[in-house]
Amino acid sequence: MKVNVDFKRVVNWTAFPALVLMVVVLLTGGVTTTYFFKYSFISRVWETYMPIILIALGLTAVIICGMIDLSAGTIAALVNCVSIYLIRKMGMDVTVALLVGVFTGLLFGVLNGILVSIFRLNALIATFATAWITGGLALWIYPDPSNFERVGDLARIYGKESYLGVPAPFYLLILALIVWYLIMKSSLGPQMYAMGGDVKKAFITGLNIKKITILSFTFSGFCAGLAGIAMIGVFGVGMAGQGMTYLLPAIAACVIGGLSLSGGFGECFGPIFGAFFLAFLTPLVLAVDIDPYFQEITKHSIVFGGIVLPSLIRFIIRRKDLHSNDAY
Amino acid sequence: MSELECRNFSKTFGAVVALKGVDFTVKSGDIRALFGGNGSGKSTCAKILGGMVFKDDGEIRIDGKKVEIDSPISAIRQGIAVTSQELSLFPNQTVAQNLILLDTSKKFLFFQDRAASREKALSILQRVGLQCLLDRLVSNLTDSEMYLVEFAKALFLHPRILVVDEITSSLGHREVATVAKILKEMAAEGCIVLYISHRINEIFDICTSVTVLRNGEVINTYQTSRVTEQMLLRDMIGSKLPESDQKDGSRQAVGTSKEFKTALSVKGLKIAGYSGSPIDLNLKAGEILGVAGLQGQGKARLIKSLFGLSEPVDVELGGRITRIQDPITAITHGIGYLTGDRVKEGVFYGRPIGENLNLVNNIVLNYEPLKIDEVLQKNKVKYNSSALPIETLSGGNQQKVVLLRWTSLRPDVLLANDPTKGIDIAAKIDVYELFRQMAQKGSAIVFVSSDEEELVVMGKNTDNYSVAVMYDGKIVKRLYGSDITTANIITALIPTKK
Repeated sequence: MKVNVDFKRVVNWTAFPALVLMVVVLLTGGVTTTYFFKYSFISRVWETYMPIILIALGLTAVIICGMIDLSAGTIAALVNCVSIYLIRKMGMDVTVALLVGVFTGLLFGVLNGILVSIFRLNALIATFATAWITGGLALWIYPDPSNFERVGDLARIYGKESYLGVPAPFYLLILALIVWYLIMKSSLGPQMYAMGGDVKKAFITGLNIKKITILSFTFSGFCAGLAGIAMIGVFGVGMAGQGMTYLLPAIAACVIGGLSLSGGFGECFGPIFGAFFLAFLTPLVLAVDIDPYFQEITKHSIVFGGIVLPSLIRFIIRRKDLHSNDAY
Repeated sequence: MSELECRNFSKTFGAVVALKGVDFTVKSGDIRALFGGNGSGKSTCAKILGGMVFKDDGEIRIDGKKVEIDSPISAIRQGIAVTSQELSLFPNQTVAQNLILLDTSKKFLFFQDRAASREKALSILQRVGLQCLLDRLVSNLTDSEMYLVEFAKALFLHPRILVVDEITSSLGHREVATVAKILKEMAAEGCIVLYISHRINEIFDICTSVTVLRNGEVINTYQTSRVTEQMLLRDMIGSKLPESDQKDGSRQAVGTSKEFKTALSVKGLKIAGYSGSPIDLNLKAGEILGVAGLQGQGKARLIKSLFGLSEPVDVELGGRITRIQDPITAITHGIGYLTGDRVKEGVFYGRPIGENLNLVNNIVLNYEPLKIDEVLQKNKVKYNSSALPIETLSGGNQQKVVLLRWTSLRPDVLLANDPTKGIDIAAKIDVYELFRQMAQKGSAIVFVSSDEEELVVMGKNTDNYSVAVMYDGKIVKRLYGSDITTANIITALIPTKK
């Protein structure tokens, strides 16, 4: 009897579909190729994808509140460029430069929060504007990825070193998850879900909507900052134009991970599994020898399926509940 | 000894004057009723005290000191808790999560002490008798449970000023008694209690004093021991009530229905979720069937099934057998569904009054649009322009619009689910009269109500009227004619084993 109960809870876990997808892709890859389970391959994939994973985690906070942050990608690119500039052009100590970089991300998060809460701008519009600003600033710093300004040693640490058995890129993720854990354990966590559930009711209940807004955008900016650091490891140079290409996969990862874009649902592991699913999907599609003309559409059809899957599961569970109060 | 003084409250919404120089003072230990008709301003007072609405003018003084309340947060800081007529609970969270949202007990810096908060929540729930619901999702609660949890949420804040805005319209007798007991306990502990309700007997039962509002102005304040129901009604309406629905006037009905053809017939209807035996129902044109039953015994489910909101049901309508599987089928076959639960099922917030009114008539069924102003004025809805969004109307007037949406349609069958919930007494009488007229014109009406007295009043001066009492998903008693009394209905609510 106890086994049945636990099984139901696992299946109802919002992150479950994403977990299944990730495992399926990994297993399929392992079966159809020789290299999918090799550490050299897997580690390269998570290194390349760590920026998206971090951005997705940051977006989780904002999405749970019922909003969206379109600037997360470009903030990461800006932090990437700022940090490298500080290290190469200003000769700043590496650790300090990285801290300044992350702090820049955090600051733009605060800016987003202020625009949305105090200036009452719609989140979509406000972060769209911030995206242009941060992207533009990044381009101003490094109009093109300059190999003369390469930060080779950082890239090497990122790619090769492990500390205490944990590969370097994961330390960024762990740091972000620690902050997330603290948020969830404080009163801010449940308040974010409440605000995402119904912002008007949250206001009537006496929640400080402005505070929740600013703090969630700050977390998103912070994670985008960490993603920017990860980018240094991935590219070694300032990739100003890379920001926007990270955004949609990160949002897709969140939706696959069971978050509802209208807010109030989901938790952090879903987007992480979703991002890993996306990460391993591209090499899988490449490996399975599909006609190159059909690669993109195959890959995106699978992604589409992944996005629809959580909703489908929710629908099936609801249908089984015949005696629910609502027929709709 | 605490004192709340509201001085010169004024508030205008657009061009509708909601409050005009309202003054009243309440001392701790006093349970003050705010009584008045739809749109009289009682809810606006509550919302101003709760920080959800800004007053245009006026002062709030607590213990002689002036206070500024500009948001729910500042209201809570002043120790004011207001229950919301439209619930402020989050359906996707549990009761416990809803209650502890504002708790500030901390363990170790900013880590919320969830265990301590849960203890607090549990003890509050025990007070209202709902301790078993601690981890239930709010979306899985019944209406009366939700309103009690809303009440518990206000209690959780340990307020020194408690404003209860119309929570009893969805509660059964026992729950109302629980609320009454708690309010009296709070008052005895020194809390200032403001009680807003339409139900006069509750006001006399619970409150020590009553302030009557009409059209945004204070008419009078009385001690409940020194005022009669007649006086309150007279103040509320400004004139005397029509005689017909106050006594057993046996007025001959004007024009009995000529044929008694069947409007709706269903056999073997099993209400989902109950063990009761299947129901056979036979409604004639011009017949009004009152349905009574305790909360959760199936009366609402009965008419929801007939409207296609539950499993598909085969129904004989106008001589033909039709399968009703969703509301659209029901509507196109002449069945209307009128609900008292305007927030969840009735009002389209954000849309204009005219659109809300015309919805089924024009937009769904493509009939001739109604003459909106004519309908609204004839039914005494207090409004400014029918192009304004429906939120500009007071709660009771919104309910009237939902009602008129269906009654103007003259459906063959009208299914009414507690339609007079949240409407003041004068308007309720208008509704009963409206139902009588519809019946005389040939509609069949199923009138589900949680208010047994209302079902008795409906029967006066109505032909072809009977009351069915439901228990456990089946009809356990059918009352006709002079057998329809409050006592008989209440006795039948819980069938005793012979």
